[in-house]
Amino acid sequence: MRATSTAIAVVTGALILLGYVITTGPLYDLRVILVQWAVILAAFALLVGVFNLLGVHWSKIKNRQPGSFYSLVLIISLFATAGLVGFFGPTHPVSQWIFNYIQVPIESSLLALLAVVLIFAGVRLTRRRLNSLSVIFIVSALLVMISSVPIFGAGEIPGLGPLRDFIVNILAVAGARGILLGVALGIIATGLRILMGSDRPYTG
Amino acid sequence: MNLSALSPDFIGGFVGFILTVLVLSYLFGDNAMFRFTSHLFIGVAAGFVAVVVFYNVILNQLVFPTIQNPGSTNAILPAFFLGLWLFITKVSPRLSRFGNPLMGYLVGAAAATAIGGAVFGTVFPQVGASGGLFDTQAAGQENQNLIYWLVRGVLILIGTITTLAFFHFGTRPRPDQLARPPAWIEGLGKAGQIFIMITFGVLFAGVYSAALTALIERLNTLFILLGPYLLPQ
Amino acid sequence: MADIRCPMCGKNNPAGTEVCKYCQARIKPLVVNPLDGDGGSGQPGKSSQPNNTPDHESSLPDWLRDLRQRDDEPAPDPTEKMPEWMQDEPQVPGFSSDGDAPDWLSRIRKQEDAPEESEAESDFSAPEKDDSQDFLAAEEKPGQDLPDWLSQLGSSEPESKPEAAWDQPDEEPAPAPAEEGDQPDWLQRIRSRQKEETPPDAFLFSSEDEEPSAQAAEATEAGETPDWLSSFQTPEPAPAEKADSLPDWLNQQAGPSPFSEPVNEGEEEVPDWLSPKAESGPFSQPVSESEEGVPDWLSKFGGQEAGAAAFAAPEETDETKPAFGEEENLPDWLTRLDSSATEGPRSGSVPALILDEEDLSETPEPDKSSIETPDLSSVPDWLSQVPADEAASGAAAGDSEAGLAPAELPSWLEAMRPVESAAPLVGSPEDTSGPAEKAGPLAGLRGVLPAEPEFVNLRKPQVYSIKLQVSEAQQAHIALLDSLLETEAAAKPVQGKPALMSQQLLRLGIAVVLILAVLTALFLNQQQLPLPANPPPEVQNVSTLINSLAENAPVLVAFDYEPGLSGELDATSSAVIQHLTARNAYLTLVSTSPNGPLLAERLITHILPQQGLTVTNYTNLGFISGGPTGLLALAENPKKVLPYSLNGVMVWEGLPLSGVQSVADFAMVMVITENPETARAWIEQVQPFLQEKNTPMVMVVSAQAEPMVRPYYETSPRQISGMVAGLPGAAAYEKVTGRTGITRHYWDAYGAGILVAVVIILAGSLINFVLAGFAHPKPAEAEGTL
Repeated sequence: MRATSTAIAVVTGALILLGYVITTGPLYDLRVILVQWAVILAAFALLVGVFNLLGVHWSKIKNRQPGSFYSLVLIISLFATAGLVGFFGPTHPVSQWIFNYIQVPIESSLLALLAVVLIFAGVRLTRRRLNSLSVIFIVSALLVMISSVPIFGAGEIPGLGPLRDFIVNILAVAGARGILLGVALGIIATGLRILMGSDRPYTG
Repeated sequence: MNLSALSPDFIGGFVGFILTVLVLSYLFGDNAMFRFTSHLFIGVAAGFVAVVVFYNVILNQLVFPTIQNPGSTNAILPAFFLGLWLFITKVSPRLSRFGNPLMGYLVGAAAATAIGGAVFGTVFPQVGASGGLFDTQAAGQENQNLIYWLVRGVLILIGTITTLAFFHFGTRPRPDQLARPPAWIEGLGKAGQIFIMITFGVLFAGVYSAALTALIERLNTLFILLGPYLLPQ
Repeated sequence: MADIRCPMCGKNNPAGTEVCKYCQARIKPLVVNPLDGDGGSGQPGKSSQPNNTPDHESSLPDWLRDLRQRDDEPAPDPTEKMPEWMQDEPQVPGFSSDGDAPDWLSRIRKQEDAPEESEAESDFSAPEKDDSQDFLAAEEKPGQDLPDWLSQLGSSEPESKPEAAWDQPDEEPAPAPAEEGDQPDWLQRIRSRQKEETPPDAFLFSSEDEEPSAQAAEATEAGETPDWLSSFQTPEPAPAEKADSLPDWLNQQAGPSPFSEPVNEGEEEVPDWLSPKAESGPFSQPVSESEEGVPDWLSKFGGQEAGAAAFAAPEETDETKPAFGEEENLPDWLTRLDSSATEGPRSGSVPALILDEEDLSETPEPDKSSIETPDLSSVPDWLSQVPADEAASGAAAGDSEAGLAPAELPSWLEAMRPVESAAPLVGSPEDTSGPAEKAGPLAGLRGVLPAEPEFVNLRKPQVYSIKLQVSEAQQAHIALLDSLLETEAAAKPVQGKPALMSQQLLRLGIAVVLILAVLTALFLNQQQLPLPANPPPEVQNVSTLINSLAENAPVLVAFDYEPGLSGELDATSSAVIQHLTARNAYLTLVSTSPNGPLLAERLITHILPQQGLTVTNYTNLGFISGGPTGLLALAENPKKVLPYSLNGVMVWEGLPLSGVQSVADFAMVMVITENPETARAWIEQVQPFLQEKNTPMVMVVSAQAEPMVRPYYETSPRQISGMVAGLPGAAAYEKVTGRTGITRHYWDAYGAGILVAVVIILAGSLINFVLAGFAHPKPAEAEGTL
């Protein structure tokens, strides 16, 4: 079973990778079919994730673990949402009402908390770790922030705009490009390990 | 109170307000209301995911096409049966290993896709862009000063190289010494740390900007909902 | 034939096998047990270890040397009747159980042949041998002209205690009796008398002794009985008395070792020739005997060093001492034995025995430092039958007499002593080499292979403690670990902390200030802050591209952001969507996130109407699963991936999507996302397909994704044509398009929030700088990343 899984992964990956080079012919058609199958299987994998979430919290309720009440809330809300949205459809006003007035407010509020936390973290940063790099970090962040919006009563401060452009368009781009290249090289190395069978994250 | 004013939007707004307050109560510390709200959010989101997947994949890609055009789904019909097999085997812990081949298929396809995209979508263009930093013709197209353009190119190139050097973790074994990378790579890495810190500072500002906007949106919603009742007309 | 069971390993061997084929032990012992009747070839008391080394030979007296060189005489008939007390007794080493005549008797016989006068002057050893041979030779022939004193032996009562004259160490058993036919008549007579009358005491000669006694009896009967033989005629006392009167070494053979018991009583019971008071004895009064016709060889006993190995003075026998007290009548060797006995009893009370000639020849050279283990196979049966406890008790008894100085024996005599008698004295290493064998022919010996297989010894297995052996150091470590674990498990006392800690207070203060600032700006809604005056080029490019779109051009819009950032991206994207709507572009809404279609519907049906904008020229195709794989599939064939809209409507058949075969057929692709990874996936998977028709791709991203997306904008050719990033980007876009939207409403509040954050962070950092300056200087920290 393990060898079969590995063989399937290697063959599938090889065929799809070849499609980047060979863009015509039966091989390319086969690649298109394989990619479509992967899309469908990925959807079923999402459903597996939802059912796994149900199973975890159901076992929590069954075993009466601490926090089982919240698991009950989760399961009830899940079934209620799936029932209503599934019955009416995703674009129905009922579904939209649930989405607009329950899910969006909660998620937005969670992100709104982040604003307070970030200010608090910025204050503590210089208290916990005061070195040149942390100073560079704070200074660049403050400069970008203060230069992104005019100041009340003062308007845009001269020189902040070009400074922001210099920081964002040159220095930050340089660092971001290096990070992107490093991430891409890491993805290539990890993908090749999977296609060569060295890594088998699908077993067990 | 005029019950007719209790429109769905109003009720929804009120519900949203309550939920917003419950989430903002985390400022005082973790509490039961915050946990209740977070679990409610997860349940609603999971329910939406399940329904959207059912509608978009099973109905729109299989049922409806099969009904309307029976022969059009022959190529992807086996995938649905494979998907059912994947679902059954992965939901049951005892049958989990029988779904490993399909997981291998998914992983192999994703790996190949990622490799192709990284090579053709990031590495080649970004390396090409680093080489084209000193393209003087582009300076003219951008209406930029040539000196400015060259200085810009030098800085971006240095920043890119030093940032890559910082992420180099290979070491050379040395007798009776700790394994350390070569000195010149270490020096480049220290310079790369500066560019990285600047990048992270810009990211910090961007995250705060997004969070502040979310806070503004939430407060604006509360203001719109309660303003007519709290503010003098 | 039936298989023979090996006494050592217990395994069956074919009949007739002498040596076990498994353990190489002798199945047929060399020592012949007279009770077994197997006619063993073993000589009683014979040691398997040859003792014929030159050094040892040179230290021996001549008569003894001759004895050793003499050939093995036929073994006495094992079936010959012996007294019961003789049958159970181990044979004295050096004396054969097969009835061989003792060496001294053999010598007597020979000497009888030779002229007595010539032998009288010679050394004791030589004439002894000859005399003994002569004597024995004379005795062996009943019909011959025996001396009167010998012939009188047959008529006299067999002295039950000829062994009394032979002072032997206690535990030394008597040898097996020799065959009657080979023994002198007088000896035979003695033995016969003993058998008839009493349970025999331990007698030096087992079956052999019977014959001398019988012979002695015959001799007395035949003729004038020498004084030393007259003791044979005395009626034998009661067995118990006889047992008491036996020398110690003979007394050890039955129950209480006769050897250990001093001969307390019965001077009259001790044979005259053995008793200390006896006027005559075979070795004590040779002169008188000679006067009476005793052979000269007997008269020489008193002045000769005798092979007293067979006749050693008992340890604590006062009576035996006087047996040799008449020095003028006692042979020298007996005298020396007496003196050694007076010096002190030897420990162990082991009689020193004269070995047979064959035994002497086979005994190994004695090791001065240690006594070698005797040949176990040659140990006579009567010797092996001695219980080991008796031997141990003999040793113990000997040990208890450690206060007495051991007798100093000559080396050659010491060498001939059986191992059992010498081992306790010398303390050889073999003594401690293992437990003493308790059964079998090797009983009493140490360091031997077990006669029985170990598995035969059914005994309770040794109980091993299952408790873990813990040393003190380990216990100390355990105690330390226990104390550490106790501190971990023990509930730490919760200190009463204030309801609000300083950190919580700071956080609350920041939240209050920020919320107040934002609410104030929203409440005032004065829109004081101006929009950015110089829109960045990436924003202008988006505007330019949208302006260049044709009427009803299909535009693929991807809503790939999460509901949490809907506040920022709704405000940012609404400006662009408004522009697209104003250009009457056909919006094709897709998403790689399950919430994307819902967010799209929310923007279209809920957000934009609030701004007075109604969008109808769109289709929501829904969700694309698989992430980058789904994007690849969408880029290759969007009709296959999304054949129907979210409402179940087939949109690819009608305009404007009927002309779209691939993603490149769209007029523009716009991606709305807050995740840099999602933006990268769209750029990597979809953008290459757009190059064939130069379809522009623009990004509407959150401010947090802008730094990671910008490098894709800064490429040449550009991978993304334009970018609107965050609320500042939306404000700039509204500035460019001249439209007002949500951004304008948020802009003042956004400015207030930014200002509050900058002020708080700046103030806090300055305070921390000052506090750090006044604080204790710390060593230079290594620079590291955040």
